[in-house]
Amino acid sequence: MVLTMVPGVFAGLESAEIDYDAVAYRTSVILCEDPGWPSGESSWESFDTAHKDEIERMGLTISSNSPNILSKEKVSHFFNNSENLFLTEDDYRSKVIFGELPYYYNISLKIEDDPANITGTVAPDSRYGYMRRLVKLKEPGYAMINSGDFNDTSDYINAIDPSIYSGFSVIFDYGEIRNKSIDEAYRFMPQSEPAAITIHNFSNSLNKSDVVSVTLTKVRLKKDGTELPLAYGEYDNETYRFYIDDVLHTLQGPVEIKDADVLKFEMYPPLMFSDEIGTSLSVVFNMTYEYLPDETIPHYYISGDIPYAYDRDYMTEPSLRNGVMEVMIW
Amino acid sequence: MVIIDDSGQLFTIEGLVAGLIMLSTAFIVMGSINVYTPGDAHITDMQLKQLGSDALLMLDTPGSSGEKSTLKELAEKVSSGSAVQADAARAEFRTAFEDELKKGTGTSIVVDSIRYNATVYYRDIGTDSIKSYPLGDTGAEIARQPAISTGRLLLVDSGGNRIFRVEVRLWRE
Amino acid sequence: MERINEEGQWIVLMGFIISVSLFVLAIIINQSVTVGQTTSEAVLEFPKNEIREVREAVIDIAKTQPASGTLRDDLDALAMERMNAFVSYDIDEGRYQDIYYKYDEIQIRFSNGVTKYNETYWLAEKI
Repeated sequence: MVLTMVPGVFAGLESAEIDYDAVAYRTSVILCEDPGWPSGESSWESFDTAHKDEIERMGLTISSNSPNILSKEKVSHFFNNSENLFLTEDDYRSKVIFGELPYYYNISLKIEDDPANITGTVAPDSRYGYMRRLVKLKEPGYAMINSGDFNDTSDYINAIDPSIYSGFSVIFDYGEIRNKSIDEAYRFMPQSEPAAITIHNFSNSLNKSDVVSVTLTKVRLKKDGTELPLAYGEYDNETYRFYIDDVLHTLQGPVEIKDADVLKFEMYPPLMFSDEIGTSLSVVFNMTYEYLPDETIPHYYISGDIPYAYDRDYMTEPSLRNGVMEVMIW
Repeated sequence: MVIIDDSGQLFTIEGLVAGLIMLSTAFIVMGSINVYTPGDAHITDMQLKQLGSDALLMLDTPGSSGEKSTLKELAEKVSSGSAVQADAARAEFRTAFEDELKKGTGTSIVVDSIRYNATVYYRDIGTDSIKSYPLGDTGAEIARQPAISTGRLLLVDSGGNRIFRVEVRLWRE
Repeated sequence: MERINEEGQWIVLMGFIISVSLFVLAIIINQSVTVGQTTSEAVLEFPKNEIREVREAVIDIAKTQPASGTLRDDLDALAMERMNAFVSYDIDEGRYQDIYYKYDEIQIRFSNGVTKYNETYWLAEKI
């Protein structure tokens, strides 16, 4: 009734304080139990600052079926730790907190013993709405390949051309990786999580007395066996990064790696073709080994076709770490 | 000499009463600004209930696939029939659960005032009734403050596959 | 004709307005007492965690021993006794199959008198 609104002109009734706890609860539910919108194929954390208006809601879980399990990518984008997405106070208010009044907020997340991620202003000593939630953070899996486990292939050479050309590939069979019978909290999710291949112990696993030089001629990406026409000579740091002993390189060699210890290849979500279950993507490291020209003995080199899959010694599968989140609204 | 004249009485009284009215109006107006809404009691209940649910969920989520969750292991041990195992399980539950309740990010002071009483309920096949095993508590069996209760259903292996429910009653001291 | 005394009209009118607005203010304050209550009561009443735990328990049953009568009775009794809720489920194994997975169709029904929840969940097992 209009009559009930008249005294509001004189008295200025504003009972916003009752609201604070309810808003804090709702914000904590949006953050801890909802994956946000859009989610799934093109999820909100892959948008950059220019497209951030298309984000309707920022939730931190890995999917809508896994409450309280947070995605590391979403957490780092939410707390403004990523280069692509910059969030302002208005963004937090309109995409997480909602409501008509401009609330002050303080949202913090602490995972085990890591320093806490905090966003917002410092809370007053009392009279704020508060909610504390317990969560787990999903650490994405990765491959840690010890070259010593793959150096028992050998071949004979001839003195005219004392080289062996070998390829070492890591295969992402998306049908196997995106296995729906594994719980999402422990499943590789190439559409939303980074993949990392680390080949370590490289130089130590070579037979030093025999090998003259090892050259990484090129690194190539293949889809179902066909090489992809990418600009391998240029950096594409949003999609992948390739490090040899912590130095960034392009995928076009040649690079002398006889004394290199660690080759690291990182791919960022969404991985190429990861939305097609029937496809497989291979990362092929082409190497040329040059030996002392001895035709009588077999010469060893490192090679293998290594699947990036579950239940392998060199694979670390996704795991969960404990955490706690606090939301304060006033 | 004092002149006795009562012609100004009404005038004075009027002035006094007017003053009193203005003062009491001011007091009443100031006093009625704070409106008490008893809905607040439910809010603390809701915060406690969500925390208890979260704590049980955390204990029932293993760190990596293939592991059995802490809560399932403890429920199995408590129902195993061995008193030694049951006591060990109770102590372990107390440590693990209290650990979860005490967590904080450091931005606010977490007050350690939550008390609880945990029980495992199961169906006894012989009598077809619900029985229970105690799972751990903070000393006082009876809550003196209003308490809320949350629980979690578990599929455990206790003489075959069975369904248990772990319930925790929580209150603030 | 006598003149009607028209003085004091302003004061009487103001008095009338003030008493009406006091009355309306009293109504508003009376209603504000229940404001906080319904918000948090609504949250407490909705069985969010109960539905989640029932759902996860049924999916666990489907993964380990879908045909077990003991588990069905266990869940039935515990839900009725401890959650005041009626829970029932049906698991149809291998209902659908494609080249990668075999799907079980799980129907879950939950009702606690105030809230009803029905779901059909497809559980995938890799072939």
